[in-house]
Amino acid sequence: MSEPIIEIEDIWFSYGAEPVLEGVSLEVIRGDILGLIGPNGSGKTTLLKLILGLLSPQRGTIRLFGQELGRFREWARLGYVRQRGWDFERNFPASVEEIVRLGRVPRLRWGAWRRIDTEAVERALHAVHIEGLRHRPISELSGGQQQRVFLARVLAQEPEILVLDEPTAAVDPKVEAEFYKLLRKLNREQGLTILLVSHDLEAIVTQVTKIACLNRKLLFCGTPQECLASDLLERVYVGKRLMHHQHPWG
Amino acid sequence: MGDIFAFGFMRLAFVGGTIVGVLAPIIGTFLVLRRYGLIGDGLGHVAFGGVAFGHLMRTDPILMALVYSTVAAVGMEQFRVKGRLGGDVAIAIFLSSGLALGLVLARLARRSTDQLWTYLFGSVIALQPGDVIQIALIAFIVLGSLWVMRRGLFFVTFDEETARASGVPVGFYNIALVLLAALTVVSAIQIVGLLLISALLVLPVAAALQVARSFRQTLVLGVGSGLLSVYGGLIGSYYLDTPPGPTIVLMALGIFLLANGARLMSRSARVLAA
Repeated sequence: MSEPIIEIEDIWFSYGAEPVLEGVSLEVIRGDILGLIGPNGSGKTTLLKLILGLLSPQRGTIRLFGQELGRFREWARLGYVRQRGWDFERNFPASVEEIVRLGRVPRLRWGAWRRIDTEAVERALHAVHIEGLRHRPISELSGGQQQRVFLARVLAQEPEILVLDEPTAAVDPKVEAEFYKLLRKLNREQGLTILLVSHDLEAIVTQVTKIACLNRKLLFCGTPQECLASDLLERVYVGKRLMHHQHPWG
Repeated sequence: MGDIFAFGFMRLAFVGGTIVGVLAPIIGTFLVLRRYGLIGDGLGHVAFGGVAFGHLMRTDPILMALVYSTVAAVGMEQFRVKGRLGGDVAIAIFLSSGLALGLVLARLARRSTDQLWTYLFGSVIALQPGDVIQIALIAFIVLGSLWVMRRGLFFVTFDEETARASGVPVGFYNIALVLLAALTVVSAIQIVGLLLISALLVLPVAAALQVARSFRQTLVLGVGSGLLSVYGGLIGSYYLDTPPGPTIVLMALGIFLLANGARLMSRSARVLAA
């Protein structure tokens, strides 16, 4: 079970003259729930975008499933849920089922919808307990329900690794706890590897199997226990409270 | 009411109008949700440049409009993706320069304003069977392409970044969408005219969005509202002796206002019930 799914080697990235990542190296092993933490502006989302091929590093290499990023084409093996779910049109006219079905788009052969696609959608709706919401418009759902819909979409894709950017930024602590419980269940029962970005250490420290702390450089990578025992976090988060940040659109 | 169909040109207008009434809201749904609603206006004005150039060169003006608007569609998309300016600025640049070019070329071609009028505001009376066949052919290409691309296009419309991260060829879909929009604009020249086509792309969709609860419903209600606008507008223009293009657009506006009113009323009813 120690197969590396994501291998990041000495990655450098800057926006113009502004350095964002400096010599970051990191491995995600199959079966990990890796929490990537760091203060706002520490380069977490940038690192995710580099892994997903949305940005290109200035230096360094990234390998996905053993293949260099430039040659990697099997994007359906990575399931990505972006920060805030989706970024525009709060009243976008889409039902829950229509959104979950999008998860199958990267898996379709020649665009043809088959029975296995319907089955994958049903399994995903069931896994996050939203079968009853399938005909509801996404815009009418609460932040927690929307988060489940986006998770269902990505589960319908049947990825081997989930990449989640601040997945619980828009929900209250109770919903957040349920969400992490669900992630742990998926990890345990379906063997899903999970890479999770959060600026909120308190929220994820008990939920993950490994923690990586980023602040332009990789400052720490180890178990949550080792992380809590070190004084590193205090230095990284000096003056910053590790609180839940509620967003206005939640 | 039967006498309206006694005229051949009205029968042709209804056939052509039906095709455009279905086509415009379907492509319009993708454009509106991508906040690209004004592209119809931009492409319409550019197509006017093409029409005038066609007159100047004594070739088919509609064909020239097609060439101009497809080139402009690609240009606008490149501006949006690669330029430092936003999509709205790109549309504004193409819109005004297209119209200016059209007016200058029309003058050089020594065309009277009456002839230009038919392209700017549509002229169903002048519709020939060949024109309707041309419209049908364009509709077949646009609707066929949309059918093949519907799932990927919906993904890109809903969330471009996630679609890109999932390996969906976002750039291809974006270019395809603006090209299909260009074809649609040209197909509607003779029905509502170049200046009013964006109303048919946007208004029926805006009406549908007031009440739709899913993407599929938006498409169905948009088409319903588009057809109602075209039929109502053609019948209204026949009996009131008003220009058909603008009457169709006013009809679409009326339907939008009704749908908006219905949404507000149902919301108030829900608040009162709660």
